[in-house]
Amino acid sequence: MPKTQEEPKITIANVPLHLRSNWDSFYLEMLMIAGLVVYFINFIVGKSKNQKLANAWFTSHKNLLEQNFALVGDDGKQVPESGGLQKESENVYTLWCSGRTNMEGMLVELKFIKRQDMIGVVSQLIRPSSDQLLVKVHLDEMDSFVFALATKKTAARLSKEMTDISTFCPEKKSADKFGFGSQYVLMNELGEVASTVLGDPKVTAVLNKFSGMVDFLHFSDQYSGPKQPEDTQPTKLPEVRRALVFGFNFPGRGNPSLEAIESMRPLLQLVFHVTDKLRRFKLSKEGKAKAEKNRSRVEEAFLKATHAARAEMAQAKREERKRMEREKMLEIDDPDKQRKWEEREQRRQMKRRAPKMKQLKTS
Amino acid sequence: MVELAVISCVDERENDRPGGEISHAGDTKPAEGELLEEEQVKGGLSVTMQTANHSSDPKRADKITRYKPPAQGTPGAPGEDPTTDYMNVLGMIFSMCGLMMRLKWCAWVALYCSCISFANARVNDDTKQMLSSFMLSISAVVMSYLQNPQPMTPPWSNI
Repeated sequence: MPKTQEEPKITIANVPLHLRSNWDSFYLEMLMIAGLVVYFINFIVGKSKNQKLANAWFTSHKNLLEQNFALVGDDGKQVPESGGLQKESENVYTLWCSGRTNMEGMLVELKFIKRQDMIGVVSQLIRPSSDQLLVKVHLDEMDSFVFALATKKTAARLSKEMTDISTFCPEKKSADKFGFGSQYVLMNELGEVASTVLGDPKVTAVLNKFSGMVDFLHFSDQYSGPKQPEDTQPTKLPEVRRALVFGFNFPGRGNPSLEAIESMRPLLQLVFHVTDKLRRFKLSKEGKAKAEKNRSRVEEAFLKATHAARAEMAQAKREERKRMEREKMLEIDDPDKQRKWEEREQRRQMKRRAPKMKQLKTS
Repeated sequence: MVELAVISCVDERENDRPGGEISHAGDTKPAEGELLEEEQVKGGLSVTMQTANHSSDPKRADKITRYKPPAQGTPGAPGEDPTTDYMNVLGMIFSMCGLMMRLKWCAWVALYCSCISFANARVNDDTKQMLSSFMLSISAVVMSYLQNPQPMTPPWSNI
């Protein structure tokens, strides 16, 4: 019987695939790199489109701005050299204008759709939105009122987000009686303001003609921006400014044409008209009294709510001061002085702890 | 730095003065009936005035207020977009994941995250941070392929 030899063990060496041998097995990587290339192309295209839109807006409004403002565009340097739009990001451009009667300054923000980001482009396809023009006018003097007029969706957002609207204008009314139908929602503190603003023929004309473009109007002397999500109670009321905020939409739902941008000039003229008008506007006596009452009510409520927090802070400060004094005393090496100060402290503590005797009036 | 204090209470009669022969270098002709309050040019700018303003001109070159960008964290700061920061952090996490656990797809996702963060960034954002996140994700991709030059297997294949 032949001896069966043991078969030698054959081990196949584990040779890693050579990167250059078979490219087509790397199709996923190719896909990834193609995706990156597409992303960068979209970035460049979107960025240049936003820039073109911004420049188009600026050139069409430049004349109007230069007629009204001494300083159009602040570039942040010591002495402003080049006026013009400042790029905050690839889809946000700002322009600060100053040097006009009735206002401290006007900040224009061009908030475009994020055309430079692929995700922005995709979300634009899913949920189309418009490029926005936000004009914030800072007034040097204004009577006290809070007024807001907005489209339904924006109204919901504003009344939730903005501190002053949620505090002073809790109820939403429809702007029917001024002839705007159910398009706009009115949030108003004092009725006479609404009739002044919305009763003005120029304002109504613009609002009716450009109803798609006017997103919201928010006029307030207690403007402090959106509510900050804070867990702890703030110990001080937020700083308020007198501001008129106008929110406009660019026409053309994401694809504005040059003529459409030209047609936005009346919107800026509306801003100037309303500013001049509201700067001179004075509330009636009842209106002013009501406004004062509202504001003092809000302040009182705030003080009450934060009473505990403020008392704690005051106590902490007092203790801190005592500690500093004690430390200073200990540093002075004069034993006599130290003893005297300790005695004084003891007496003060005794007085505080002793029951306060009430004086009875004997009539 | 020259600070100009312009005090002028001009009544209507003085409007007729031609050319504005006022010795202060900071006056303008006020509009009819308007009173100029005490003005101060903020920020110490010395501004040269134009003296021939007709009364309906709303420009007030002496009332220029310089732009003070609102400090970070105060409400209403233009462009509070947290996408950049989130994507930065996400990108770093994914690239660490990809490096440690040798997952190729993690490294690719990290690269995408840092690209998105770059696209959404503001102009005055810190470029160093973005650049470092970019470099980290690229190094994650390269290291994953050096360690294991096999192509990525899609999760839907059963090889």
